[in-house]
Amino acid sequence: AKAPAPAAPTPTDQPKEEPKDDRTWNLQFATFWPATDFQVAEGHMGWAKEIEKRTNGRVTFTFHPANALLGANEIFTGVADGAADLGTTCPAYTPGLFPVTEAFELPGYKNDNALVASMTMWEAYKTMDLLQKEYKDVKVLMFWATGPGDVMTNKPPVRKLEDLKGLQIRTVGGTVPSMKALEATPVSMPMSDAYLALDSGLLAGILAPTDTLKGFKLAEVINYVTKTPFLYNIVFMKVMNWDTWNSFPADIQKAFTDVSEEYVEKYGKLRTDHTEGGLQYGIKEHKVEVITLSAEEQARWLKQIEPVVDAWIEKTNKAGLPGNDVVKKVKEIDAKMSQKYGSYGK
Amino acid sequence: MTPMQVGMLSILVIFILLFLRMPVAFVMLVVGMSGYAYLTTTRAALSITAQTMYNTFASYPLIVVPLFVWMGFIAYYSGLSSRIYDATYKVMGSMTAGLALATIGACAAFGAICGSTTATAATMSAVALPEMKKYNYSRSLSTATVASAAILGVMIPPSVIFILYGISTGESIAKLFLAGILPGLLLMVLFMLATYLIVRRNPDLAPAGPKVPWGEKLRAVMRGGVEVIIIFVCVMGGLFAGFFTPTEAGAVGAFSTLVVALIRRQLTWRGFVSSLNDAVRIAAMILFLSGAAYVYGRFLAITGLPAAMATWATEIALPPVLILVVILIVYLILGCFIDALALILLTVPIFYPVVMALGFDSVWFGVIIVLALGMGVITPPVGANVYVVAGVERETPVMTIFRGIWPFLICIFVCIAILITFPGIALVIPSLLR
Amino acid sequence: MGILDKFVRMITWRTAQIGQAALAAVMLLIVANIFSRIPWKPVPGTVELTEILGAVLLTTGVAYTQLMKGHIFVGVLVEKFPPRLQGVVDTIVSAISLFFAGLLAKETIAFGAKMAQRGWATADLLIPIYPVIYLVAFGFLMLAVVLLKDLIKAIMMIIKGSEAL
Ligand code: NA
Ligand code: NA
Repeated sequence: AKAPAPAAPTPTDQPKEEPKDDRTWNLQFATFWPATDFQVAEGHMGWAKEIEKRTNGRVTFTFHPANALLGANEIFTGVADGAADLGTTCPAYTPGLFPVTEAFELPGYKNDNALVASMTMWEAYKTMDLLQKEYKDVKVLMFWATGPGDVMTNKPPVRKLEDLKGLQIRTVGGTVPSMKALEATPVSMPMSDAYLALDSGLLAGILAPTDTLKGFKLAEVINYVTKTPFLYNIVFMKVMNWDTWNSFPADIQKAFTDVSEEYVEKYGKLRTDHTEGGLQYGIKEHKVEVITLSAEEQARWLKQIEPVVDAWIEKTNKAGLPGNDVVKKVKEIDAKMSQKYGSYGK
Repeated sequence: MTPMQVGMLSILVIFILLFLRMPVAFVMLVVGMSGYAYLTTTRAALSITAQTMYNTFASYPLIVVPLFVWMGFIAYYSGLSSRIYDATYKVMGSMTAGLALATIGACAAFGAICGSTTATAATMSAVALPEMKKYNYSRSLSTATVASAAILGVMIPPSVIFILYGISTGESIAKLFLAGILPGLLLMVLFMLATYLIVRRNPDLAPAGPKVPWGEKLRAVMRGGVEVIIIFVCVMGGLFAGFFTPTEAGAVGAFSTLVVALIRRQLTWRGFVSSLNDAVRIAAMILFLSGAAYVYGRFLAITGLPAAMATWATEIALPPVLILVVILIVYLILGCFIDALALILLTVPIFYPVVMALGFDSVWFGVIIVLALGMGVITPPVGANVYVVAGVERETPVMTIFRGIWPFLICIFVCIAILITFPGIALVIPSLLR
Repeated sequence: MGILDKFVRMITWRTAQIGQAALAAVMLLIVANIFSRIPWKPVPGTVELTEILGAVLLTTGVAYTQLMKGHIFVGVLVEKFPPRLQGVVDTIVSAISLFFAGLLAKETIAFGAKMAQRGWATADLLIPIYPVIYLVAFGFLMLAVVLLKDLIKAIMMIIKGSEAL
């Protein structure tokens, strides 16, 4: 959005006053979620309303949900180049672009819920130079994250590690190594194919957070949810074009900074609620069975996925980044945040 | 100029460039890029264009297009399609418009394995058009028949449009698929009826064949039918048994057609190379056009024009059915310029809440939307199906095809009217689910 | 002109052959994946390899399609013009198309360079994507070459006043 240039100050003999800045902005907001998804309908809309309120309506937004303006893997570059003013997407959709961020999607953290994961990522971004470097092409407004994903199957139910062996599970991006380590067979396919693939029996299951049971209608084709909170979560970013950001006066920049800071926690809570809500919807409307692993069983799974973290550290070290330090730091923050926010929604 | 005015000006420029013989894909690309650069920056316009084109080319769901097109050309070069049409001609050729009716039926059957209208249009063009030409069917009639009947590809499940609608509204995809079956068959019957009536009035459009004795009919069916049944069983059977997804069905279709042709020693090396050559050419045409249409659609999105039209349609004080009619008119207009998939993403979020507030059924509305989008893929100036057919049948000018479209367009109107009067046609099968 | 015409034809045809091979390969890959996973397990990275092959087959086909006049156009109006005027119209249209195809090729190269530097790769097999982007850019560059040939032809048409070359 090209903002009209501020009106030229009229020359006058009066004592010099700051020229009144009455510019307005309509910002193009790109996101991959459909408009009806809670992330847009409640999350982004709530955030946008709050910004509009605190800027007295000088900043407004035009939403382009469901990849209408930029595809999920185009949003980061598109925002950096100004094709949209701001946007939200996952770093995981463009593997390789954000090597340090990958650390947050590794298995094995305490990672109680989406709130913990969101606060962890945000805290890490504010304190780690390495992370900030990955996003220098854009103005980062905020980060947040999904809750832990669960193994959800059509059939058979997964009650122990052995049940998973050889099952074809839709898995994407950073979670592929974990599923390989658990001896499932990861199948990557677009989300638009997942419903039919589950329905036809081509896929035995999918690894995803339970809000997809409702959001992507998966409850219709899923019968069992095995709680596996330790497997992964996915980070999200909300980023803005630098030229757009620099066109704002200080008070508007402050509104963005303040509201976004508050919304890291709000989004985290929202996702936690909907992860639970999606699960309850599945249980009530489609009689999905929830399977909880015993402590010993969980320990077996965790042992099995240990090499995944080591392999990641090795790969990252090879790329000249301190993989070990990064994982250690994330573990620290995760532990701190788990203590503070881990009980939310329980 | 306001962004909205830029959007309207872009439509004018499109018309001018089209009539100056610039290829449609370039028109969309040139107007989309320039408009985007004008409203934002040159940097932004270049960035979004390069990304959009790359991602359209490197798209897993879109790979069905080249694969199904190739399948069609293998059938053509191996003589398979000619044998099918020989059989059809012997069985139905003496009937009024027999081959055209059979082609409409074949589009519906192919729709059951293919989820996209463009892939259906391309495949059926490769298979059906040369054959109808052989039997002296009017070009305008045969090309318009294929372009329109290809809409059955998204009415009859599986269907990419129902999947997109389901995800963007939260409606059950399974229910939408089931809801599409009867209206799809209804539309098929309407298309057949229209074709029949046109040819009855002007028999020269589809010269009737000679009466053929039963014995010869049977022999022709045996020669042409067996292979089709094998391929059909491979693709449909595998799909329903859950061996592969609809996206993969394109590869299975091409593979099984190739195997049948090789076993029966009907495909020469030359024919094989030609089939690949034609498939690559047609697929490149379709997807370059899709990519360019996406670029234009994205430019139109930031002008706010589609959203403004949609909002306007929902704010006028009229009885619910008339608002629905206005919405359909908006689809008819926008469908002239925007690709079907882009259009659903742009408009459903705006129309859906309004239509729900008016008290219509959401599954039913999904079926109506697919029909409305069906109008868009055959109306000028941007009618994807017509371009696809013109790309395969290269001797027929685009305008000749567009001229043949209007009876089918009327059929879609009639189908929508019937569904508004008897919503049960869409809802009876899904209501049996649970 | 004759030599230029032949040369452009030869290189676009060679390029399109890469696309033909890619189409056959993508079919075999998907079928192999299905046959492999029913009794055993899927071919790793099928989706990402399909995407790469899809990009190869389409981008190598775009220029060839233009060479064969396969990109759909609406000829009703211009066909009625006298040859010289047709030449003028085609010169303008080819020049505009050439300019934008050139821009697209240039920007795609820049996009590839950026992704090379950032290390964009596929999720499973970790195949770097920038070479594929460069190949797509090459396809657009070939398209520009064919359009340049069309432009020269159109200018000749203005000079000679007929289509014969
Ligand atoms: Na279909
Ligand atoms: Na249209």
